Amino acid sequence: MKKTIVFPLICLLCAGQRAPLTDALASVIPSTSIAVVRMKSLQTDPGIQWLLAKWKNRDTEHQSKLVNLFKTRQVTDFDIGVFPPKGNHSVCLLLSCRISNPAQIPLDVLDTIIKTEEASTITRSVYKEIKIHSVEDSDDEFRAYAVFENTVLIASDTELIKSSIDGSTIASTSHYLKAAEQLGEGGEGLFFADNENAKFVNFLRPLEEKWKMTFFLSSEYFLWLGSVFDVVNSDEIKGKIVFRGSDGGHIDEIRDDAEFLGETIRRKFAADSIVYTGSVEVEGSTVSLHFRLEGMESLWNKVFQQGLMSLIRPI
Amino acid sequence: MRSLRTHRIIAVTAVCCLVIPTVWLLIPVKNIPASAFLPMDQFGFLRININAEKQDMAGFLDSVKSRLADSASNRFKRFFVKKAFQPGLPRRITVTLCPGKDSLLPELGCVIGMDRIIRPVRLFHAPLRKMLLRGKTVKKMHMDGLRFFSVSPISGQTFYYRFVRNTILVSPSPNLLIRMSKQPDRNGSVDSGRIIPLLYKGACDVDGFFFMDNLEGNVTSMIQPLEETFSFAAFPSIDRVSMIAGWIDCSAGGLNIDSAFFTNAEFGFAQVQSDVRYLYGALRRILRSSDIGMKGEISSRSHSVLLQCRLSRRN
Repeated sequence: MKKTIVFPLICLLCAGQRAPLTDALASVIPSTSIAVVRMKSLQTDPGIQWLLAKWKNRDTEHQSKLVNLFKTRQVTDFDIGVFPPKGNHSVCLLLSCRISNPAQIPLDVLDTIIKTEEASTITRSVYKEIKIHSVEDSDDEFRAYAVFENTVLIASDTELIKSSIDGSTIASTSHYLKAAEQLGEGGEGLFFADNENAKFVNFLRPLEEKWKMTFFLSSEYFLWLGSVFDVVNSDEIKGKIVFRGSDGGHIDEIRDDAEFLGETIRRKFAADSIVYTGSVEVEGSTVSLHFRLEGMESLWNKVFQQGLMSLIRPI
Repeated sequence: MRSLRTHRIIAVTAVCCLVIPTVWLLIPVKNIPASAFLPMDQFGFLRININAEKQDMAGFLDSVKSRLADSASNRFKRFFVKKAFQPGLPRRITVTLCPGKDSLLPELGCVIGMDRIIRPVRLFHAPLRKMLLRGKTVKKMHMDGLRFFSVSPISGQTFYYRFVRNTILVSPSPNLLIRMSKQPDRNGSVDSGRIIPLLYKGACDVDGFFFMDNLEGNVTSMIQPLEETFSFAAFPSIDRVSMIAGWIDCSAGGLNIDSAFFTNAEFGFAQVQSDVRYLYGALRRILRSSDIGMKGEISSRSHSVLLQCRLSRRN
């Protein structure tokens, strides 16, 4: 799981702020998702290009099977939906990639992503005229895929692909639409977490129990959490994280969480000589943490060499 | 005649079985003050005075007792906790910090003052040990002419303890335990040239008191290796802090803690304030995961940063 989420999580830290959020790509992620990470303009943005090149050249020990898809085909944008745990999966994922030339979509490469030593037989079934390829009893993070038009869907579970084909997308939910408006008209990447009925916070709970720490004291008071980031170059990223409160009554608690998050980022990266500058802004029931990180290149190298977990693992 | 003899035997047996142990239990034990066990090189301590006669403390202890009784696995244990909790409580608990001999991390020792209750504790040591340390390996040991017990594993560590008159000494370091047992002065006038013993004695009328002396950099050398290990600047201005002192007061079902961070220079004062603020934020989030609420405020006076807070159980 770690290998596969490294790149999307890095991308979460690196999204820009240009293209609209509510376009066709996001519309394939079902509304049941807890969080969405999305990246756009993979082939045109210089910062993202630099990160992609680093990821592709990563040593094989830590490499994800997904790299083959990115190495052999022109993936222009992708979305990752995060869903509640199911079966052997502590978290379920649905990856949706758009490829520049539909004729190029490679079934053999996709087969290698879901195949494992234990589950080498691929079952092909059809759902609403779309062919779904899947393996049984695999502990890998991805067990099924489907291709339609110029989009590839790869998921932890066949049901996720089916609900994606069915419609009912996260892009049509009111929180997502509000987030799109609040975060600004566009972005090469963004992160959106829906906290209606404490959905996102409950998802974080097992991690909080493991770390014996509550991440957000104001968890019951915010509706959603969104973020847009821009990789300026290999050395610098800037962006904002937005907390949308359910009302103005608990805005101080939300502000406290935003300030604590900013301080944690500053203190975490101070040891790696990364300069953090940030400010917290309150407007109505919205709290925004604006930030800029400079001196990132050595950190990227560390992450790509030793994995994302090297950031929190004791030395 | 025979019957009179029988009555005499019964009376003597009753005296032996009931009166003698009762008298024995009531005879005052020779009281050795906890300060007599504290090592000369200690740089910090925490002293808790458990005075069950104080109304607020009694209320606090009652709530702890009912929680323990509720979590007891069977009726007998529940009954035992209800009856034995309050009388079995120690009168004073002192935790002492000394510079580590083999590592940069400090050595930790605990002096538990039991007063008269030490007699039944020692008398029923074996069954109590079986009940309280279930699942742990307890071994009797001799080192340096002293008899003590080792208990493992507790959080992956081995702890050692021994009885000395009315006191139980506990430490994860057998060397510190030996040093504490062999303190030359048992009259409580330990190294009177230093401020720590004076503060310790002065702290006998409050519910709790803690103190850490950083004039020789002992606290700095405790925190800096941890910051390097986790690559996280948790308290980078610790070298500007000369002393940390605080009072704990038990009231209305919660704990009030007033602490002061004294700085040794005006330069870097703002950094100390920022670090104390971050520490407060981190503690709030850590305690929240155990359902403990923490509310407080930070202020400054001349060369010290004050953190005043209240801890109480949520729900």
